Amino acid sequence: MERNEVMARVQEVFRDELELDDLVLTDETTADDVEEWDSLSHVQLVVALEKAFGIKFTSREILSWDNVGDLVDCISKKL
Amino acid sequence: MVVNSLAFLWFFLLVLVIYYLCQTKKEVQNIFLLVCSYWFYAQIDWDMTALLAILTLVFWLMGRGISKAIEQEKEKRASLLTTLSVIVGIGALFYFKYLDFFIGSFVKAANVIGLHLSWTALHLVVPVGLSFFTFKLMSYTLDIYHGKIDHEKNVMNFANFIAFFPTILSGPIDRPKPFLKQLSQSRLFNPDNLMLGFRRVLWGMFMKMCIADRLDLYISAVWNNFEHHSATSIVFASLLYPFQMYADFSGYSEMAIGVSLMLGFKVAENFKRPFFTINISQYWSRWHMSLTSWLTDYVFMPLNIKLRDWGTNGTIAAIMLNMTFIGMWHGADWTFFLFGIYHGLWYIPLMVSGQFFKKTKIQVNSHGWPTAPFVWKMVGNYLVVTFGLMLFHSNNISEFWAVLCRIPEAWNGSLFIDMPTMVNAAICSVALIYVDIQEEWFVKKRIYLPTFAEKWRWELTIAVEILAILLFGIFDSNQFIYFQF
Amino acid sequence: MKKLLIHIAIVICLFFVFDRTLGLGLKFLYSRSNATDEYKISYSNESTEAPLLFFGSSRCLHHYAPAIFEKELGIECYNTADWGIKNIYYHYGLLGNILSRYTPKTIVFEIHPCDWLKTPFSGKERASSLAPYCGMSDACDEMLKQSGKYWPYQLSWTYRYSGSLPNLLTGKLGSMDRSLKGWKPMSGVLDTIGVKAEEYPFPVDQERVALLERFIDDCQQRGIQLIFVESPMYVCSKEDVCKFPRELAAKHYVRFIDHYRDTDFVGHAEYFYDFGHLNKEGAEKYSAKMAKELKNIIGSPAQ
Repeated sequence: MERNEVMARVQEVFRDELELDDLVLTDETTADDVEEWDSLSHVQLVVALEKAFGIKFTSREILSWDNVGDLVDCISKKL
Repeated sequence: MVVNSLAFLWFFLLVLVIYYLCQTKKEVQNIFLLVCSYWFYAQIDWDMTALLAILTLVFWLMGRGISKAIEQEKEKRASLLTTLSVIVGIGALFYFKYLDFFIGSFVKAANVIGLHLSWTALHLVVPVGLSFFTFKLMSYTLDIYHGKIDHEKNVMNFANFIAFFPTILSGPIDRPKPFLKQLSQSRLFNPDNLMLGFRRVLWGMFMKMCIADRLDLYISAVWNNFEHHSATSIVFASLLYPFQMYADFSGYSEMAIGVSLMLGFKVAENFKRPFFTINISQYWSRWHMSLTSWLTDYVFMPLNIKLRDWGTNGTIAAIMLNMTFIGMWHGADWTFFLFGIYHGLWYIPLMVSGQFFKKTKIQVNSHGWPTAPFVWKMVGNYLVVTFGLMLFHSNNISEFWAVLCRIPEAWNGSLFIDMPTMVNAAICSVALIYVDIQEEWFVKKRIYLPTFAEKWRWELTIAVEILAILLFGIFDSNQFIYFQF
Repeated sequence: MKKLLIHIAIVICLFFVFDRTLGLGLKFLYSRSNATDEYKISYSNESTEAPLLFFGSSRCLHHYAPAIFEKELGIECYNTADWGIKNIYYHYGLLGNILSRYTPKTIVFEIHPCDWLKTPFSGKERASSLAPYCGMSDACDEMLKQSGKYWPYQLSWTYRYSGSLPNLLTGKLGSMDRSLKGWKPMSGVLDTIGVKAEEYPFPVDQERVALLERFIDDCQQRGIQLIFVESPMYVCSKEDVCKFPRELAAKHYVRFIDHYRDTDFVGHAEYFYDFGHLNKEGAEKYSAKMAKELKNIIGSPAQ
């Protein structure tokens, strides 16, 4: 999968989980930028992403993401 | 040396002058700050100053080790050192604060089942600020491990972060990244920061001295003699207690934040009008925020992530454990443990109904006031908090139980009230509630002032606040309400 | 920097204007308040000109009924005593303020162990009740300096009334009966279960002793007849509690009337409100007895 495909898929998952139909994600987007994205919804997002991509993250990986870019890189590495 | 004392005032004035005289040389200013912080700590807890220094050095070295291990991709080594740092931090806390409690409880339980053990309690004095600075220490090594920060090469900067005197005693608990960043440049003299910081200090003094200390006279008079008081008095005192705690702790935090700002530092906020919330989850996101966010990031999140495959049950388990930690952090007794469990249980209906994951928007009517259902929920939430704090307030479980039993017993009694204390407290509380309501729901509206006075709004505010503190504040600890039974 | 200094200067000016204005208003309310002890402190310091004054702690406050003394002695009396374990630090300052206005003929001083012992529950802070009278006399100011509050009271007139706004606002609505001339009668009878004698295991405080001696000196220099008294307790200590005042009185040629172990009252629960204070009946009986004794003394030189 190409990186921008991963990004598109991630955006889809975010939109579904957070119920924000017009959410746009970039590499620099962080939780501070999206009101519905906090420590609680974060884990739900992780679970949804794992399901969507059929992968499993380690706790260390999850806690190391600073922004969407890190997240997308992490997913791309696993695919 | 308490922040609202004359001794501190002199100390701080002197510090301010020299501090800003050094502003051209960042290293000099930082070293001076460190000396002041250690001097301040030594005044309060001379015996444990060495412990503070040793722990600081140990954690700095471990941080350096973790950083090197990550660089060299020695994953296991980094993990080991991080775990070790957590063990040292928790270990120090456990030893001073919880050892007597856990071993004592274990011995009691053993005796109950027939094993005759004995244990002489150590009665260790807990180093002042231990619960706060161990958390700062551990967040440093954990953040390095998770790649959130680089290790701080300058050990003085790290020591400043840990020992920072405005916040070392009772928080707020800062995170390494934002604070260390501020240490990397000198803090230049800024009149706006000084004024703003001073105003926050004054507001904090008002909350603490005029409301918290005043209400404490009444609450202590009732609670410490609950066997002689009517149920009405006990219930009334219990209902006042959350408000008194808010004024006390938030007031103290305001002073710490204000003093920090006068030194040019922006530190973490701790309170955000916590009684304007409608469920327990919202409450904890606004009460003692620096602690709850610390536990959320370093306890709840990792737990929640580990248990994510259990779905809602996993989150519930993570919450229960997290809240138990919050409870126990406050003290070493079963009352604190139950306090944590109690709060954790209130999360369950929220999670089951899905409300936990949604952000509730406040419903207002056409005048900007919240709707009646919303207000009722706020009241209900306050009552939930009140009951939990009765546990918190009790010295032990038997006292809590005795208080509860007293209530149905003494329902016929009259309300004990000391009018001067209540009127003093009421006047000041109305002011606090007014300001909080305005900041929560009417932030665009300000107190009306005629045009000529508008120019001096802040000067007027400061002068009036100082007067209020002089007129309503409790200045000596000898005061008490005389209650004759 | 300049801007900041201007801000600070404006704050200081505003503060002083508000503080002095508010302080004056509170002073006015203070002298008219009947709520709790303001009326006593204000009347004693500012107004009374009675030739016979009673000084002391709450024991004096509850025990001496001026009306009874006035009837027996034919002269005006006022009971300046106050509750809150007031001690020599307060009394000496009060004396200074009174002497700055007039010279009474007689002072009956119900002396209490906290006037000469280093009691932890009653110390220099008792003088801070003289706050509204900061600046009235040297003795008062000296006592306020001892309590550590002199400079704060000079700096802020509002601070002198700290905590007392509710009492000052209720003012005229207060229930203290000014016609009793400072006496506060207590109704009720002592519950004798578990009552023990009050003990004073504290060392002698030389500072307080020195103040007592100055009190005596100041009175004697002005020709005021000073009489030390000790009223009865329900249960008496086995120690010779009155040894010190007796010896001090003798040393300075001051009369000392000792009713501490007076059998008319000791052990009579019906005359006591609590272990150390007579109730209304007890106080009236005691005042009548004391009034007769004083009649024999007043006018004649101290032995």
